[in-house]
Parts: sequence; C-alpha cells; structure tokens
Amino acid sequence: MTFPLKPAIGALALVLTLAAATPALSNGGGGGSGASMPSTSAPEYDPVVEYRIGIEAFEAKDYKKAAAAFKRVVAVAPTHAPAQYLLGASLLGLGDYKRAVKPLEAALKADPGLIDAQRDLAISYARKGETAKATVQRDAIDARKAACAAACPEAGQIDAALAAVNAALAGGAPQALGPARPLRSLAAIDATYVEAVSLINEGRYEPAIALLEGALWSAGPHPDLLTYIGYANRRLGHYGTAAGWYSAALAVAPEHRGAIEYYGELKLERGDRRGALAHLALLERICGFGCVQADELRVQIAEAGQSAS
Amino acid sequence: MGLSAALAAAPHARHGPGLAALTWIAPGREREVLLEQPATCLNPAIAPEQVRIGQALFNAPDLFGGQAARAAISCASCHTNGRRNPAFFLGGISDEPGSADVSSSFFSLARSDRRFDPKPIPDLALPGKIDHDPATGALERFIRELIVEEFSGREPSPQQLSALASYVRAVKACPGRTSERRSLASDLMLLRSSIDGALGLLGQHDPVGAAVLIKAARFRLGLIDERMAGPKLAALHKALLAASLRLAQVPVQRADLSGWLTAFDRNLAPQLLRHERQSLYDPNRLELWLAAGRRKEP
Repeated sequence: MTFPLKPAIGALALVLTLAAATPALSNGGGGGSGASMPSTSAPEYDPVVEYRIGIEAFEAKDYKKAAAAFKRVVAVAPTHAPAQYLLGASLLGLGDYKRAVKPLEAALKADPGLIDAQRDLAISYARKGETAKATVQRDAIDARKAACAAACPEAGQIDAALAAVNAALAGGAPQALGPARPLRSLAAIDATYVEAVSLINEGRYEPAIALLEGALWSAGPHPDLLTYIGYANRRLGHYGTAAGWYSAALAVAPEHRGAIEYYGELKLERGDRRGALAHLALLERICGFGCVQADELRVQIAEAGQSAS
Repeated sequence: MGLSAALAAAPHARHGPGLAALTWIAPGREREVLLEQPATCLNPAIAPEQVRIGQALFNAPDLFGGQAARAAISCASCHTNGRRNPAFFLGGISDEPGSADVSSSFFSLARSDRRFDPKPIPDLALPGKIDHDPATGALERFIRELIVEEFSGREPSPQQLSALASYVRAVKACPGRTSERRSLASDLMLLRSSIDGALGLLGQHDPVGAAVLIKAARFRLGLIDERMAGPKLAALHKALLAASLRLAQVPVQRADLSGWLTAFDRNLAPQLLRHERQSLYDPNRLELWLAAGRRKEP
C-alpha cells in the first residue's frame, strides 16, 4: 500500500549498483529460469521500523542506539545507501573512525554521488592517520567541485565538505555531520509517495523514480518504495535494474504482494513464463482470501499465452 | 495513512496481526472506526433484494481498479455503512480526516486535475447534488462515472448499477440514534449479503457481477480472519482459510453457492460467534492491541 519525496544525488548510480549487487540480476535481469524466487522467510527485524528508530536516535545524537538500529537495517538491505551512510555517520559520532569506514564505503559504492559519504569517509581516514586515502577522497570531492564550477545545486555542499575534510586533515576533531538533506516527516513521505505513484500513472517514470529514491532517505528501505522504483524502471525498459529493486523489496518483505506480482510480470515480459507462474503460485499461497495482485498476474499470464498461441 | 500507516501497522512485518482498514484511518481515530459505524436505516419501500445486492457491491473492493483495488478500498471505505467515514485519511489524498481528493492521478487519469484539492466526503443519507429519481437515471450515470473514471474500475453491468443505485437511494439516517456497534455480526451480515447478492446477480444473468461478489465474500472472510488473531484462535484461522479456498473453487452456480453458505452458517459461523470475545472484535482486546502499537498478539 499501500505510497511518497526529493531527488537524491546520484540516484541512477544507486540503482545501478543495487542492480549489480542483487543476486536476481545475475540470471538475466529477472528473465532467467525462475529459480530466482526469493526466500519467503522474513527477516528477524523489520528494517523499516529499525530505520525509523535509527533516524530518531541519530537526530537525538544517541549514536550508539542509532548505530545498532542501522546495523540491523543493512543486514537486510545492504545496498540501501542511506542506511549504510547513516550507520557510518553514527559510528563517526561515536568516534569509532575505524568501524565507520566500511559502511561509508558501502554507501559510496551504492550511491557514488553521495557527497556526504565521501566527506565522512575522508574524515574517517584522516582520523585513522591514513592520510593518503583521505587525500584520494578529498581529491574526488575536488573533482566534483571542478565539474560543478560553482553552478550546480550541490556547490555549497561540496565547499562545506572540502572545508570539513581539510580541517580533519589538519588535525581537527570533527563531529558527526550527518546528511545534508533534511529527513522528512512520515506525513511528508505519504504525500510524496502519492505524487510519485501519480507520476507513474501518467507515464512520467523518471521524475517518479527521483521522488521515490529521495523518499528512501526518510522512509528507509520501505518495500512499497522499492517496488515502485522497480516498476518505473521496468516501464522504462530497464529490466535488470527493475529486477534488482524488486529483489531488494522482497529481501525486506518476502511476502510483499506488489513486488511478487510486478516481478512476475517482468519475467513474463522477458519470456520467462515458468518464472511468472512461480510468482503466481506464491501469490496464491499468500493470498488465501484473494488479492488483486494474483488476479492481475493471472490475467497477464493468460493473455500472454493467448498472444503466443 | 499511506506509508506512515504502513510503518505503524507494518503489514509486511511478522509481529502480529494487522487490520486492512487501518490503511485509511486517521491516526488516533482507530477505535471509533473499528468498533462503531454510523447508524443506517434502509428504506423498506425500495426493492429489498436489489438493495441487498447493492449493499454487497458497495462493500466490494473488486468493483474498483488501480490503486483503489490495490489498497482494498471499496465505496464503503469512504461511505461507512452507506453514510460517511469521518475518520477516512489517506496521506497525500486527504488534508484532514473525512476528506479525499478523488481527482488525483493516484486513482485515475480520467479525472486528474493535477491539483491537491481534497473535498469533504459527503453523507449519502443527506440530499446531494445528484438527482435520485429513478426515472432520470442520473444516479446510475453518476455511479458508473465514479467506478470507471475516478477509481479505474471495469465497466459495471446495468444490473450492478441498478443495484448500487437502489442501495444508495435506500440509505437513510436512523431516527434517534447516530451510531451502531461494528461487530462480528456486521461482518457476517455483509458476508451473507455478498453470497446472496451473487445469487441475485446470477438470477439476473450477470455472472461477472456475481464473480465480483464472490471475491467480496472471500475478502470479508479475510477481514474476519484479521480480527480472529492470535495463537489461541489458530484453528479458526485455518477454518476461515479453508472456507475461502472452498469458495474460490465453487462453480459460479446457484446451487453450489447456496450450499457453501449453508455449510458456513451451520459449521463455522457459530464457532466464530462463540469466540468473538477472544478476538479483536472485543472492545477491550482491541484497546489493548491498539495501545500496544498494533503488534502484540491479542
């Protein structure tokens, strides 16, 4: 349902990285054998709830609690750049520069456009005494500055990041700086979700993806958001990327009806009828009292069968 | 609601029961919606069989398509018991409880105006802008536009439109009382209306409409199941699931549907009624469950 936000920097990069990191993609962008059906065992923790706990703790500067919550999120959603970043930022807040490096690297891998992660990674290296690595990161930010030429929307953020890194390299003790973007209220997420789904209904997939990816910062790896990012990518013909997002949604919520249906439709579009039928079977097992997702997928499979015959 | 309600209710989590209706209930208003509903008196002068079919369709999510169908929204989600749901709230669609922007692209492109302009949900028992005179057919046309253009539903049959209009015409306020209890009996009544309505539409040669109501009956079984939560009621959950699956396999024929309903009323309905006080139909248990953040087993 379930349905909300503001564009993330480097959003496309996040998508591509997530796609590459998701097992389902390794067998042909979801068009493979159908053996990529997700496990239906639910994670021990609800990563969406844990993300919210983490956000609240981070904002209250309770970095220990925040780090514990974000750790649980990334255990289920390792390619969720916001959670990896916030885990790193929380550890930075605790002064644990050594342990901050790994999640910050993961955040940057998932979203190479994430200036905050690059800044905090440089600071962590600097505080660990790894000046060369810190300098590499600072140079990367410098390169962004050159490309931006003071004209891009992130110009101020880049300058602030460089100042913070230079201060750390000069021996200053930085605080947990946190994300430059504001973390939105749940009500604001709802409105953005509705706006994004409305854009999808209008066939405006790229702005919808930007909105939904921005929402991931405030809502965490919510399966509705992940599913609709997948759906919009699928409509753009980005099948591999779409499969990655569907898989991410199913890792968080293995019985998410929308993700199972849309992933099944993707498989059907890619000629994998057996895979689509497996998704339908899963929906029929989950939806003991009926559901529109099973009905829709059933119709699509039947129509595809008719057009093929 | 929307995602924020989903976060609160966490339907994808494994912490306990969830109630589908929480999707569109304003935070803090759960109790009044889950335990009570506006009192409705049906005008007995309007063909009761048609009114009963219409009432069942009014509560059938499968009448709609698109996002409404995915959220299991029916006419009754906004117009509880044919009246008005003052606690309806869908984030991004409502600006205050009891309002909705039905010209949003979220539901349908046909009526989209690309503006956030929610309007108060009207009480169908009060006179409105649409002429209810059967001779004009204005109400039938209005309902058809709502289903197809506002909520992306399939084209309804003339039989379905006639029944829905009969129900809307029959909805009246009740003298002397404004609300009534929402209980297991309310859901059982709507379940029976769905099966009786399917039988009625079969009699009117509308098997597609009958199929909509069979799905509505299964949906209603699911709503009952949500309330029969907790390990102590696991046997009832199994029985409800089995009843739903049997209904899915019943041929859409009068004798088979009647047989299913007879068996349900003889076997399962009495068991459900016996356990109502152990379920989330019980006000005290519901209160505790809501207070525990909707997660604890009742």
